[in-house]
Amino acid sequence: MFILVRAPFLPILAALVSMLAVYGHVLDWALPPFATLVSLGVVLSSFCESRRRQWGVTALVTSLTLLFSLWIIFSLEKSEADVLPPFIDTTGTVTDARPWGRMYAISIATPLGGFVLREPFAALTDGARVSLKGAPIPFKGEQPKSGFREDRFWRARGMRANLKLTEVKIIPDNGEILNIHNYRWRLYRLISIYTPRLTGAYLNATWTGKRDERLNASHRRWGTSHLLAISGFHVGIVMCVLSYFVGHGKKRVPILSLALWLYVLLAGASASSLRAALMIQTALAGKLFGRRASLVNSVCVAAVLLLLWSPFQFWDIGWRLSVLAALTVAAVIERSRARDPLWLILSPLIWAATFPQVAKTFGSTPLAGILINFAALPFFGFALSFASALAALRMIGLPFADLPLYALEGAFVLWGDLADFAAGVIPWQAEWSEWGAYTCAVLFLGVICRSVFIPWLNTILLATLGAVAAFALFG
Amino acid sequence: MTELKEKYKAALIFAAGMACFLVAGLMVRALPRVADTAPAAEIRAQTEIRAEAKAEPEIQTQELPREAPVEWFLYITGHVRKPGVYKLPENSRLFQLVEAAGGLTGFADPDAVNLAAPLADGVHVYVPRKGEKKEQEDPWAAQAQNGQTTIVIEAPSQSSSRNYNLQNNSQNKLNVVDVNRATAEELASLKGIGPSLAKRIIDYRQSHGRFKRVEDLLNVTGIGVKKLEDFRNSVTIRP
Repeated sequence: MFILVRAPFLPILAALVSMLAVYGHVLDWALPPFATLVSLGVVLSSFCESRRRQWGVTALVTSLTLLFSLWIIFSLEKSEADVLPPFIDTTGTVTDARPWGRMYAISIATPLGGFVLREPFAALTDGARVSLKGAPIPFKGEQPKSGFREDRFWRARGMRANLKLTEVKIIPDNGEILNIHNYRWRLYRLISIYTPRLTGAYLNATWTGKRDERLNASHRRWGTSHLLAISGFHVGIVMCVLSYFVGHGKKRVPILSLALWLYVLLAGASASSLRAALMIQTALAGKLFGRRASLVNSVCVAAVLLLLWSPFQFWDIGWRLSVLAALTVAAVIERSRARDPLWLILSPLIWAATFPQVAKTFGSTPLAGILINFAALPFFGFALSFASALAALRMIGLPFADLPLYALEGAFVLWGDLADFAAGVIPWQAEWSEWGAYTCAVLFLGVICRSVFIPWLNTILLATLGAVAAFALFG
Repeated sequence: MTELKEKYKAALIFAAGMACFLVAGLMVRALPRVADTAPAAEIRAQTEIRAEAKAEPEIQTQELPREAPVEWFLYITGHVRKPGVYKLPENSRLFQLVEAAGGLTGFADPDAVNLAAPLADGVHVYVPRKGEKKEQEDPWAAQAQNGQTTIVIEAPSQSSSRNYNLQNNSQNKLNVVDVNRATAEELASLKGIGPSLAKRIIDYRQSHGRFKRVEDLLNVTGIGVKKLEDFRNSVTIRP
């Protein structure tokens, strides 16, 4: 069973995802056996030839699935049964401030849990210490028109309830308040001050996770929104740059690991960045123990760990797109190692893998994205690394460092014009359609199955069955 | 021969895998759904709310069924052995609350309280000391109007807020309004709530279902924390 050799966490991830898809529809006690059966089904149906210790590993995989599913159900039920205090009077730290419709949603971590404030402007900045008094209000459930579930969105981010304030006081900062959120805010300010507008917006998205609304709109039009959300792409760039400077001694892996997590925390620890960091950490750990990591398995490990940490991640579109895209990239790289030229169509494959989710959530996705992404990845891979280095030099006061920064600003402007042109040449949007989504699901599952060397016949059957099941579960 | 055996084995294991999927699929299809197992009363209540929302656009409050077992939270202070908040069954009387609080202390004035008086959810009871200002003859005459929508507690004329932690109205009557059943007129009688806000509360109740906590009223446009604090003690939430 190649799947147990190449990606033992793949059946576990498939089982947990299926279980969470039916959560709330089926009685809770039935979910762990359901997940175990799915996991066992994936392992058995990928069988092609006998391997040593295969049944022991099969038992281990199914046992882990059962254990993980029990933990997830326990976590979800515990969260659902949360009883809010009628009134709170506490202190806390602002962990995030993001635009929310016409307001700002400000997340505050307190000893009583995370609370969300809605303010007309971003009065509170990341890292600020505040004393709060107010009434916690439960998050809303499914909205009748949009289907958006505020409770799941915020719980995936560790928040407990909304807070209606009666009083909020900012505890004066005399330079003593130093936490990762405060550093993020300081870095955001430095980047905004020392770099030109577009370059600063890209650097802020990369280093602090704070996105510019205008830039967001442009990238949505080009089908390249993933470049603004911190993902494996950004974490990969940072790690490449760092690994260049860090030597090859014994301390290489611990130093890189520390730098990796510092970067992810600094950048706001979004689902996609956490997934990427966990994946790279798995690969680094594999290196430490002298084992080559399977990329598909690394993505699955990262995705499962995130679900165990917060099962609400499953309902977060960021987690879904991140896992889908990363699995596709990992599968293509695995096939490339077997001299399969799949990498030539990596961009359309990623587009196809994420299409069902994107189109279902946002209604449509631009077809121009397929073309633009071919050029976007190399361009931004270079431009973001170069801009980061130049901005650092400018901040430490190196003379004339601003000149190449302005040249880079010109390159970003030119990129925008070219991308707009490409989006004008291919103006069509791919609307949500069942057949389109079904085809993309089969394609995605087929690539994943082939990446773990499941035989063609089994691949076809599994991909078709998986796509039908996905429609039955998510449809 | 070995190769053939391996081929059959692979087919058999593959079939076993498919059987696992089949059983898992059947499990999802055949097992009772969460919605099917929801308490009948809950479903009925929801149905009635929906029917109310569809059929009667005018401001009217439909009586909700009360089959579901309910527990009351009651607060007792003053001269009892263990003051605090207690959870008692619905329709409890004052003597049960006093018993739960460990009984009266030697300083308590047993004549100042009517131990047989019925209670209501969320009530604050104060047991005075002997010699404290004498209350009206029957300070604990609490009664439910028709047992349905509004619980009216007749309050003593003096130091009522201390005893009940509720606000007096001009007729020395304290209306503890059940927001889930109250009519627009009853809601409008609360401090800070006019007819339009009362209508908004009822609209919200009809579109979102029953309130679960008093703080849910903050979701109604026009009710802020300060306004809620003004009438918080005059309302209660019954499931």
